[in-house]
Amino acid sequence: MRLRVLVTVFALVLAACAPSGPAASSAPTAAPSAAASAAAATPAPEPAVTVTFWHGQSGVLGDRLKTLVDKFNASHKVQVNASFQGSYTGSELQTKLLSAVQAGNPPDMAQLTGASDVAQFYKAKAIVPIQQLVDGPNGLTKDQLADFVPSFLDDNSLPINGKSTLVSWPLSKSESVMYYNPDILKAAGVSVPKTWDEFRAALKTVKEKTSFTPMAWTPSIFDMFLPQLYAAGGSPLSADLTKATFNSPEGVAALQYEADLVNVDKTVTVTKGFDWQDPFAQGKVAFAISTNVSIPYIQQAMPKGKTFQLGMAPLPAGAKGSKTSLYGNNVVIFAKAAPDHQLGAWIFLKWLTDTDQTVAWSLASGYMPLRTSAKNSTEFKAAAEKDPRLLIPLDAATGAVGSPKSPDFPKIQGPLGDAITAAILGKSTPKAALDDAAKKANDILSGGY
Amino acid sequence: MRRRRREAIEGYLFLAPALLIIAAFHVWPAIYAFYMSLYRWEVAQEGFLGLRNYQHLLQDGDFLGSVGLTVVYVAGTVPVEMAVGLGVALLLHQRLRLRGVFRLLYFMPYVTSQVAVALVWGWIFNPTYGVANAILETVAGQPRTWLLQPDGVFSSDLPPSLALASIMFVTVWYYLGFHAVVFLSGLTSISDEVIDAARIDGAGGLRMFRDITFPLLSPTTYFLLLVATIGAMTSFNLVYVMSSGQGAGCGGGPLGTTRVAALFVFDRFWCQTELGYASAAAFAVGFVVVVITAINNRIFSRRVFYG
Repeated sequence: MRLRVLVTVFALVLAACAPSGPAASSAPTAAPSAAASAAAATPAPEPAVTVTFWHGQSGVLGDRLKTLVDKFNASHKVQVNASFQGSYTGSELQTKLLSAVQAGNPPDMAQLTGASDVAQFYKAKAIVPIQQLVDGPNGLTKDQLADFVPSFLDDNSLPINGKSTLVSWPLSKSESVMYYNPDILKAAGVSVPKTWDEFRAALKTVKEKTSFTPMAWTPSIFDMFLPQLYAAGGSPLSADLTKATFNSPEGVAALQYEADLVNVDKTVTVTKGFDWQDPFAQGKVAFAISTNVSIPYIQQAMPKGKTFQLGMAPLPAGAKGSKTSLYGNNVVIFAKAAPDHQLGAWIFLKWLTDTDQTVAWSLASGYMPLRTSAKNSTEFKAAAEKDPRLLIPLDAATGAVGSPKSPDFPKIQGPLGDAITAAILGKSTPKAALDDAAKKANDILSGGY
Repeated sequence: MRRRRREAIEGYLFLAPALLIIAAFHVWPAIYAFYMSLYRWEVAQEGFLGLRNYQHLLQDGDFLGSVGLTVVYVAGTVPVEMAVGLGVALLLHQRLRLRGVFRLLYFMPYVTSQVAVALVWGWIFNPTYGVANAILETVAGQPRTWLLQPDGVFSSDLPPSLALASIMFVTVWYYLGFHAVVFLSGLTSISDEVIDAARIDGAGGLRMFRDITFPLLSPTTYFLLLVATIGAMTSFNLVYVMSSGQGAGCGGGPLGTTRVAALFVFDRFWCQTELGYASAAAFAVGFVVVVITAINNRIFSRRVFYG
């Protein structure tokens, strides 16, 4: 089966009978018109269509999403046919979508990951900007829109004709948080760190005063590097998304910090994939950084009779406060879908992200509720009283930043990830590693050849 | 004449299902991949580039590096798995007790899912709780970071990295049984008369192997050399799974030191959504495979003795 990759490539192009592209009528449009906003008062009749929805929520989460879809179908003319098409985190869903777009036969709507992936599909004119539906007759009022967590809307917006425009719609959102083992912190006599300086000091104290591993960590650009960069006032790309700026002094300082944890303080054990999770759950490690949906996975990995109260806190703060990376997925509506299917898809999304449903989905899945009003709902309040950790990511979401909005960012992730690895393995200085990655990134951003 | 034509039509009809499958799943996709390779093609088709994707490949350090790593991977796995496979086959060809059980044991990895094998070996090489370090520490060695280590085994900046060398070790372990079984079938096809005649003439042990067994095995050796080289040149599953979860791109960590050519194509196609460029890379890799196969053919086919 060594030939599998070539066969995969060839099999994909077999399906590609014609280059994809949306109908001219469904080409992305610019920001909302005043007329469209005015029309919001008179909703269009709900079309009796069946809308296809490809999602990446597997197992129990898939079943819980299906429950919500069934509830929608029971009370609406629009019917949603939701199907699991592979995990969105493992990129199976995205590869299927890519194949479907090549074949000119995408679903009506689908989950995609962050803004940079959405930007790729938008650049290819494969999706319609959701802004036109938000501003349409069945859209949302200003007040309704203002109820959404601003960073979630920002994560779904791209700059179009100089204006921030909603291109996708949030659904399952999570973010980086800090996990800790309170028993180890108590044994070391340290409190939960609130700044990155305190965090470094806490790791050193755990190392000096206990026999536990201070932190297990799989290097990634999203869990520490970008949050620290943002918290120091930096940014990975220039505002117009044409230049790499992650090698700024703030970026170099962020990477130096990570390299020092590994090479100078020797307080961090570098792992691969989710290999940090088991030692942490077994009570051998004081700190870990992961998304807020990791709680059940960590708790399940705790040995029976040796469990501990899993601590969670926002990521430590820098000069500009606490910043974190947004994960999860957003939903896009495809340009190939007929207008009544696009409307049907939007009616479903609007319903699914209404306060009642976003609370239900959040409590069922562990993702954050998308609306600020969720905090006042009876169900969420009751759940947060039982487990106050539910409020931590939601409160920290004001400082959450999604992936950079350039369609080229997925190509830049490789060189940037290599720069982080090179620095923490001591193969290069942080500055040299980031400068090298920035050079490659700028070549990519300039369009190459 | 009519009968011959009828026979020909019947023959083509019998061939049709296989031809259709080959045409649909090999020929047409290959043609379309070549078409894609002539364009800037990301999520959708963009501008016509002619051969500029190919031109860029020749200047792309990452691509050339991945081809270099592939050559190292092939050179470090194919001769070893063939030599050890031959040794195992010679042992299993003896009249041993439980010979069938040994054959089964050696062949078992080959019929196991590569993904499952790669995951298990990933745990074995885990630096914190893996068996590899536990064994190393008991024999007084320093623990290693195995799949996380970009430094070279022989020199810090030269391939293979410890990560790639670990994967090469697993590759040899995986394909060993296949080579052993094929060599074994070659050994059983050598006529007893030839062996007996050589023995009467006084040939023993090493002499018998050098002058009789090995030359008569040459068709099998040649077949395995071609198949294993082509397979290793396009190797993907083991390398991909054992390299995953290291944060940079979606294939080939640490620092790209396990990014062999097939991973380069996969990474560019699926993770970086450079469909046109990845198609060009796939064609270029295919060309390299053809060239190496032709070289193999030229060097070794004349030395094959068909009896």
